[in-house]
Amino acid sequence: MDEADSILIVDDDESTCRILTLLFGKKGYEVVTAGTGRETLEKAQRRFFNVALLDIRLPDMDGIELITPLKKMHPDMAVILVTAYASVETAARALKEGASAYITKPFNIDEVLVTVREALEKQRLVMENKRLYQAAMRELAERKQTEEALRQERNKVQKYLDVAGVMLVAFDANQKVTLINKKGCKILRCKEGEIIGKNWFETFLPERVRDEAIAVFDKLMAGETESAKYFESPVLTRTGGETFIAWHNTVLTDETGDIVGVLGSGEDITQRRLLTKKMVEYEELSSLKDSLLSTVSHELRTPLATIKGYSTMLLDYDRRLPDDEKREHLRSIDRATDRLTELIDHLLDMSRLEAGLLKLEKVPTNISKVIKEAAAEAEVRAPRHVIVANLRNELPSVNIDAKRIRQVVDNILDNAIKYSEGGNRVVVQAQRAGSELLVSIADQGIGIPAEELPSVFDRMYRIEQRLTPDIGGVGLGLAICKGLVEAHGGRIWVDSKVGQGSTFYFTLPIQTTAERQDYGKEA
Amino acid sequence: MVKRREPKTVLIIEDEADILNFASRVLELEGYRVLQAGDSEEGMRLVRQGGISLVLLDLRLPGRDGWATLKQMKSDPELSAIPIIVFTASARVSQRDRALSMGAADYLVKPLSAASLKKAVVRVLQGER
Repeated sequence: MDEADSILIVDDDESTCRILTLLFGKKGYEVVTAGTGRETLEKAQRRFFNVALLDIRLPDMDGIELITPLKKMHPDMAVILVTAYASVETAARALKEGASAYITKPFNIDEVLVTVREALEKQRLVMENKRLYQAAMRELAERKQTEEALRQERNKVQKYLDVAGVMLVAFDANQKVTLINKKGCKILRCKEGEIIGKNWFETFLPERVRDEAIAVFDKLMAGETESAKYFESPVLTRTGGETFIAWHNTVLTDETGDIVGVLGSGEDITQRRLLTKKMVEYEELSSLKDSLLSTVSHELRTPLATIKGYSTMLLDYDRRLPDDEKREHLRSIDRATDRLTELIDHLLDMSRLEAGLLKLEKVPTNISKVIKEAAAEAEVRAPRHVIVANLRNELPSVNIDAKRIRQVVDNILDNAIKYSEGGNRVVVQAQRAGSELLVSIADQGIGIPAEELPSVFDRMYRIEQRLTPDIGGVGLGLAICKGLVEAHGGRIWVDSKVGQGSTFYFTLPIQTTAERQDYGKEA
Repeated sequence: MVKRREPKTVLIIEDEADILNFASRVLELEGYRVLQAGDSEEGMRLVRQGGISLVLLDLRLPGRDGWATLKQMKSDPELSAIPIIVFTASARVSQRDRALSMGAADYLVKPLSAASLKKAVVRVLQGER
C-alpha cells in the first residue's frame, strides 16, 4: 500500500478515542476522531476514509443511522460497528445497513486490529475487483472502438484496392503475401484466404522466372531502387495456367522509414500480348501478301505485255509486215499464253495446297514408268540435254497421284535444264530406302549457294532473280513440289554445290501389303 | 528552211526478249533507229557512245537494275539530258512517282499497245525539242 490507510474513529468517550488513536497510529494508520454523528458526517464529507469505526451510542444519534449516509458518500468505505449491547438484532441491523463487521465492548485490542485489518483486506479486494472490472470494461469499450475504426479503415482501403482495375499485391520481407485485392484474386483464381500468408514467389510464380523476380525483390528490399522499373512476368494461377502481368513495384516502409515489404501493381496483359502477336502476324502476312501480289502482278503482266504488244502491232502494221514475221509474232503470243496458263495453274495449286483443298487421286503406280516418260519428254523439250533415267527394274509399287508426282518430276527436271550452264547431263535415279522410295534428280548446273538452300522451297523464292533473271517463273514451282510430296506423306530436300550442280531428292511411302492386296482385288 | 531529217536513235534496255523485240519493231516501223541492250552494263556502254535521243528502260534487269541505271544516267552531266522512258510491269503508283521524281520523262506500264508506245515516244521527243 503506497498511502497509509485512514481510519475515522467515532466515539463520544474521549478515552476510548485516545486509546484507539494511539493504537492505530502506532500501526501506521492515519487516524481522525469524531465525537458526534454530525461531526462524523462533516469529516466524512470532506474526505474518504478507508474505515469508520462507529460507536453505536452517540450523543446526537444512533451509530447505525450513520451507516447509510456514510455509505452513500463513500460506497467503498468499510464501516465497523462498536457496541456495548451485543445483541443479535443490533448486529443484524448493522450488517443490513451495510456495515462490514461489528465489535463488542469492552473490546480486546487484538480483536479490533484483526477486525479492521480484515475489513480493510475485504475492502481492498472489492476495490481492486471493481477497478479491474472497470478497467476491463473501459478497455473493452476502447478496443471495440479501435476495432471498429480499424475495420472501417480496412474496408475503405480494401474498397480502394478492389476498385482498382489492376492487381495489387503486397508482400513482407519474408516474401509472404500480406494483402491482395479482388482483381488479384481473380487473376490468380484463388480466394483471398488462399493467398494471404503464402510465399508469393514459391506459390504464384512459374519456376523459370522465380530467380529473376526474387532478384528484383531483393534489390527493392535492399533499397537499391526506389521502385522497380516496369517489367513483364507471368503468374501461376490455381488451375496451373499462366497469366502475363506487367508489373510496377514500390517499397512499403514503416513509420521510421524502414523498408518492410513490397507493393506490386500488376496489369493482366495476356490479351494485349495476344493482340500484339496477332497484329505482328497480320502485318507479316499482309506484307507477304503484298509482296506476293506485286510479284504475281509483275509475272502476269510480262506475258500479257507480249500478247498485247504483238497483237496490237499485228493489227496496226498488218500490211507492212512480211508473213513469216507475222507468224513469228503469233508464236510469241502463243508462248506467252502458255506461260500465263502455267502461272495461273501454279497459283491455283499453291493456294489449294495451302488451304488443304488439293485432292489427290492416289492409285498404286509403277514409278519407273512415270520417271521414264518424264525424262523422255524433257529431252524433247531440251534437245541439247541428256536426261538419264537410272532405275532399278524391281521397284516397288507406290500409292500416288501419278499426274501430281509427274508434275514434281517435270518441275525439278525443268529446273535442272534451266540452271544447267555447267553441263548438259541430268541423271534421275529411284531406289528403295527402307519403307520409302527415294527419287533423286542430279544436274551439273550452276548450283545453289549454301545460304540459299534453306529457302529454295519457300513460296515465291527465286534464286534466278539475282543470278538468272532471264529465266522465267514466278517462284512457285519448288514450293508446289514440296506441297505435293508432303501431301503424299513424303519428304523433299536438296544438296548442292555452286559450280558443281544440284541434286534434288524426294521420298514416297511404299505401299503396305494390305494396300497391295486391295489393289489385287480391284485389278 | 527545210532540214533533212536524220532518224532519231532510241536505245531499249530490256531483258525479256519478246518485249525487246516488240518495242524495237514498233519503233523501227515508225522510222526510228533502234539499239538494243539486254542489261544495264550493255545499255550504259551504248549510251556513252553518243547519238542516242531517247532511252526506253525496263526496271527489272539482271545485275544492276533499272533504278540504278536511271540514277547513274541522271547524275552524269553528259547523259542527264537524254530523256528516259521507264517501261515496267510494276503498276505501283509509288514506283511511278519515284521514277518521275528521279527524272524519268514518262512511266509506261506493261502491257502496252503498239500505239501507246509510239505516242509516248513521240510526245517525249517532241517535248524535248
